[in-house]
Amino acid sequence: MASAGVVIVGGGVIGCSIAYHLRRAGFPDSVVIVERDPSYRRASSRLAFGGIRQQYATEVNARMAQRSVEFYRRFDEEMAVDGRSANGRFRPRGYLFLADSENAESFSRRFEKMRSVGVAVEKVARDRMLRLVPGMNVSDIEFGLFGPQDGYGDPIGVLAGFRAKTESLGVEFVAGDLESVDVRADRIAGVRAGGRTIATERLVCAAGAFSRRVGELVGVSIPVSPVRQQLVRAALPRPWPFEFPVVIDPTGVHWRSAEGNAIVIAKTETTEPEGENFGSDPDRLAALQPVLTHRVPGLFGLETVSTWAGLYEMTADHNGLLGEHPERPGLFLACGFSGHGLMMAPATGEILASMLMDREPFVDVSALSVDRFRSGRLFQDEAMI
Amino acid sequence: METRKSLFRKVERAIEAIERSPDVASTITQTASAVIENFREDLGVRGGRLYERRDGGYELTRTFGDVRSVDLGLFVPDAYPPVQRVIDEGVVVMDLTAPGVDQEFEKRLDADRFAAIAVGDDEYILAFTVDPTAPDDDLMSSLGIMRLAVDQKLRQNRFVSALNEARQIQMSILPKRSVRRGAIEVAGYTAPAEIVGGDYFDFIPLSDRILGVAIADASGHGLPAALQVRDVYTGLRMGVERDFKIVRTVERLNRIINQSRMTTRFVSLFYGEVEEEGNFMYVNAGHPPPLHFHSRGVTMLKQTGMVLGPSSTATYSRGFRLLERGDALLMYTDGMFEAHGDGGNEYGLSRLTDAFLEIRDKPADEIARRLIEQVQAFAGGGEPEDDQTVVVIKRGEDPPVVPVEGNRLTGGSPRQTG
Ligand SMILES: Cc1cc2nc3c(=O)[nH]c(=O)nc-3n(C[C@H](O)[C@H](O)[C@H](O)COP(=O)(O)OP(=O)(O)OC[C@H]3O[C@@H](n4cnc5c(N)ncnc54)[C@H](O)[C@@H]3O)c2cc1C
Repeated sequence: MASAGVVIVGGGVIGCSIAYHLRRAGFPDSVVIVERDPSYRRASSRLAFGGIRQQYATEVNARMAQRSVEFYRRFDEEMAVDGRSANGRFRPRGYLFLADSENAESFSRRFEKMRSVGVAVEKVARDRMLRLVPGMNVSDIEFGLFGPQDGYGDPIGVLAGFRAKTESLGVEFVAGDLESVDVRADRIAGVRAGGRTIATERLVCAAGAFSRRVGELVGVSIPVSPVRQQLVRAALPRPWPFEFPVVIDPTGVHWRSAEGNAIVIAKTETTEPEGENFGSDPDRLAALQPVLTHRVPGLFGLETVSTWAGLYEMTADHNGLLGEHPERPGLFLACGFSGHGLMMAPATGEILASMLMDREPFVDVSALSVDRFRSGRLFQDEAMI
Repeated sequence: METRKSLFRKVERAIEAIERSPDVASTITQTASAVIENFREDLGVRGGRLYERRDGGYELTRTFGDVRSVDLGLFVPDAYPPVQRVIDEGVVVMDLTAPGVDQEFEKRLDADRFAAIAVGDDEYILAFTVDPTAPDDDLMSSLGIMRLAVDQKLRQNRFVSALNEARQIQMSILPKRSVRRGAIEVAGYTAPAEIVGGDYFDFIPLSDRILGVAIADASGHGLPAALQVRDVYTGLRMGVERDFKIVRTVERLNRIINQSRMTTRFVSLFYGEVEEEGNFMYVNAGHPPPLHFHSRGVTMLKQTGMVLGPSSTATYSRGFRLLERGDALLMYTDGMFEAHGDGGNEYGLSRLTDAFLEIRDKPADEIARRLIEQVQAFAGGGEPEDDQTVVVIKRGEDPPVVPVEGNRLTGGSPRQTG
């Protein structure tokens, strides 16, 4: 029977990042990733918006995000294989949250908190906002919160880069389902996946929105729910003279620039029901267009290129689940990032690698333990969107 | 403006009630009840009387709503001027001052102002007591529309056998099985709402490499819709087989429908030609835009023009698409997304795309069949509210590949920095 030092369920950005960091940190044993969907048709990593920011209002999230932003800045070289660089294409165009009279107060509070935990963020007035986004309507905007080091990357390029690099470092991918988990004396002892049996003492759940089912196989609760998020890619009505930062309108509509004189637009719907739904409304732009043209009148005449949907991996407090499961030694969680996992993936990989090698992670992540749901101490970060 | 719209929505609702009625008696009863129920507020309709034709005049046989029923059996001679007027004009609104009105008689009926329609080849007169302030125009137009609907329905009841015939014609029109052109696979499925539906689809073989694919929806149901569908079927087949210009064919078809005497309503049509290599050329006459599923999500085929019928001079233009390996086109009629589930919410396009994505790897005919099953399950089974039709065009896929996605950024240098 084969054996592995670590088996990771899920070969999206999180799973790959963990494997990559294990190899880089000199983990002595073999690392196996179980991934049932080699074309990543339903992986959130492939379907994401691509926003990468460090604007968080708690220390642990802010430090993880900062670490990740730094990583993304050097991603394309660091993930190079055989001299060919990756195509994560991180672009530090910035992240601009717009505060109107209704949310000005909470944004001011958030700003203070972010500053106190060392986030690079500025409070910007109207004239500065207009330089960041020429032609924007700021008449109903009080101020903006701008993260100059933030930006966006190409999710496909990031996923492909992570995957190619991990493979080049000898990480083995098993193409198949995690079928069962062998638990002995409450500890992880092995897995069956893709028709193979692998003995291992360490199992990592990096299964994204599908994590709850992994918990069922292991016999513990992993409180992550799949919730659909829809995106629209729309062609700009005329050649656009600049690249947008990620702009977050007070209505929650946000967008960034994309290849081919286009933008990618999203809006998180608080009423979206739970479920593994991948359908997207092909006419979704019609609902978003009024907000977009109110904010930037020049966006009148956008045309849909495509719409698609992927799954957010939601927890009750929208923060990730990180660390060994208290009820099942050997089971490590790296999931539940609730729509922020792409930007958290580098730091998550580094932290998990430390934990799996019994080292101190670079930041204290005990607040993100799954224990918080049992004890009812949810973890709040005001900068969660 | 708003009230106008809401008035016409009520007219539509009333017509639906009529169209659902199974026989003459209930058509009349439902018309009267629908008028009173829907127009009480806007037009002050309080109650109604039904007169049936007898020798030399009409007999009051039923009352509806808020009127005195003591006069049942009352006989009104043909010579009474208001009767003559309603027979001549179909719809009238009158008060006691109108020429020829017998004031005593009408007062006894408590009908200071009334509106009346003659229906069923003048076999019946329906008279309603109306509010003195209700606008004439609104009364005339609402009741006028109702009258046409009732007449159509009554005629239809008489033609059940003809209808069955029409149904057979229609079933013989619809393709029986899916069709292939190289790696292109095409299949369709329809679930009619009534005895005969207004939906249709067709696969027209143009060469061994090219296939014509049509989907259409004639507004309304029943015999007229079915006959119109047959016109589209014949016109399109003749057109595209003789002439390779699809725009010209559709424009000609529009003129045919426009001149057809049956055209009380209109037809939406989407017609496309798919080549073995994945090229797809289409013309859309007001049909819901088909969906193109590709590796980067889903896109609507937005190029469109006016529905067939209302304007003889409508012009159309072509749209193009390339179907890559693994791509699919989904064509559908509005019954596929307007179905209502528990709680009244619509099935909607996003559920439709979700259902498609779940089964996109299945053969085209299985996809078509299952999509209809899903909508029907959502709507809770039973007769569909409207016809439901889907057509699926699939281009076969190679084994899974490393993903390439369109939300990739350029390397171009931006002028604005943050
Ligand atoms: C529309 C959308 C927009 C988003 N925008 C952003 C953004 O702007 N910024 C950001 O940071 N994040 C964003 N996210 C969130 C981000 O995509 C996720 O947090 C992140 O991709 C999670 O990575 P992952 O590797 O855990 O999950 P995934 O990429 O989903 O990978 C999990 C993998 O596990 C596999 N798997 C699951 N269960 C099993 C099993 N039992 N056996 C075998 N394999 C299994 C799956 O096939 C899948 O490939 C967005 C998400 C969506 C859907």
